[in-house]
Amino acid sequence: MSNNMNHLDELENKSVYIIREAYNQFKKIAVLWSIGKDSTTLIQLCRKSFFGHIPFPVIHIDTGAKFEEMYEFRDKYAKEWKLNLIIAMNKEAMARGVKCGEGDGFTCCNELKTNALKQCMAKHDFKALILGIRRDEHGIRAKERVFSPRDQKFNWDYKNQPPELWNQYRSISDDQTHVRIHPLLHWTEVDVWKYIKRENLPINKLYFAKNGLRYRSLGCKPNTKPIKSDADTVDKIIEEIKKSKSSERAGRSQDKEAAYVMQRLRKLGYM
Amino acid sequence: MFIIGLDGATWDIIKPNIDKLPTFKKILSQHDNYTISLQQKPWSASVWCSMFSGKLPEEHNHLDFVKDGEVQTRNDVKVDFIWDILSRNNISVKALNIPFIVPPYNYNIYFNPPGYGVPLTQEELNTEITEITNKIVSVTGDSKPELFIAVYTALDKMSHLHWGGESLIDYYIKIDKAVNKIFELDEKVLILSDHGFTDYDKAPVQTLPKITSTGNELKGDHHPDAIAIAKNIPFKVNQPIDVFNGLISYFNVK
Repeated sequence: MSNNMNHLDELENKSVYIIREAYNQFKKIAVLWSIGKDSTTLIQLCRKSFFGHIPFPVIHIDTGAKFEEMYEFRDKYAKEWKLNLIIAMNKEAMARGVKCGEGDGFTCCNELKTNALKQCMAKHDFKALILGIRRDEHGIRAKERVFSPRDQKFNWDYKNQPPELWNQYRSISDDQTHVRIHPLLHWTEVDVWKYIKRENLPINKLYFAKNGLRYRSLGCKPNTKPIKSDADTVDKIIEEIKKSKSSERAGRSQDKEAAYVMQRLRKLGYM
Repeated sequence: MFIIGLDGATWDIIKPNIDKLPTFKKILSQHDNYTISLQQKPWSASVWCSMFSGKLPEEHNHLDFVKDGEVQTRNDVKVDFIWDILSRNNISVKALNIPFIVPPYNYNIYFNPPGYGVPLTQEELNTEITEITNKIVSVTGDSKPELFIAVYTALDKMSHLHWGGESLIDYYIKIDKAVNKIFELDEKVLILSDHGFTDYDKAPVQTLPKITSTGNELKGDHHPDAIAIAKNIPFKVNQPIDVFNGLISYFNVK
């Protein structure tokens, strides 16, 4: 990297390189857009990589339980940015009565997210997916690779992954169903917000404090809780995150639960 | 059909204390009852998983609640369970508090278990019995499925922490009262445990360290002899996978 680049330039440069390399290797490729800040940043990076027009489809997995503000944001910017938007829904599961927030978390996530994506991948024969996950987001994501193969059942064998030393990526994979590509893996939450500020990116209003509450991470409505916050501007959010000692996904019920469960199992002797 | 799981229930407590357990005394005199001597290791997660998936541990590869320092979730267990298969065949099924993972798994029913599914305080241990029983009793009429599976998990924690003590007998008395409320809810009822219990130092396998990381001393550990009580159940459970195989055969699905 050039010494003239600042930190955000370096991050952007690396991400653009990964996105272009991915498109070069896989013509049957798509990018996932959850309408959150990370994937919206990713969409911006994809647009920049191809001079304003993304040459592959953008998939939104719709569980039917997103915030109204997320649907408004999606529809507005899909049109403005001329995205080839595919909305993936597991309509068959919905018809069976599977509903987000009812029953166990696994069934709704598995049916309405994983299976919806599986159906979409099969229908369009996608061989690669670009996702906006980051290493600092969650413990398990720290083990991810930039080019991450998945087997036929969508399984990720995290103990058997290609090494990515010195930024050398194994971008070709002939024995896997599909490859996931993570151009934001090296970004942090603060990096994303600083980039949003620099690029003046539109971002969902749910992230900004209203009546002392804001969402730090967006998911499905029944499983996402706001945090106490007065940060109603990007600058204030950046300052808040720098001081924060809680995890970004603390508002997501599944993550919080796992931490409590682990704590309790330790009391019984589990390591 | 109704399957009631009692995690860690053992004849070694029930039979010597039968006069304090009127429901068990009555149903044992009226219905088939026998011991399931496990051939697989008596690890709860693994046995419940075998019971409802029909897979041996080497097939489902789900041995414990925690793997490599991480709490396992439904997503980590790569099998279809009986409820998945029956649902695909349009047979109504509910599964309540199935402890092959923690928090225990629910299917087609909502339940928020006390203590995140690892009840440890006396209040949490007692609350689990009440809440599971109330939930079972509330499933009536049109919401009652063709197969309903429910598991009381806190007996296992009680037995680890209070084996040999009077408080464990008192807990069995509470379980006995709960069984009294639910045993007549269906014509076909199967009561099962996933393993038995014994004194920690006499247990053939130690599933947990005697002194836990927080300084608790465990008094009991798992024994491979589990219990079964069967009311009008058309199959015999010799090993955990027989539950799955028996249900597949009974409901005539593949």
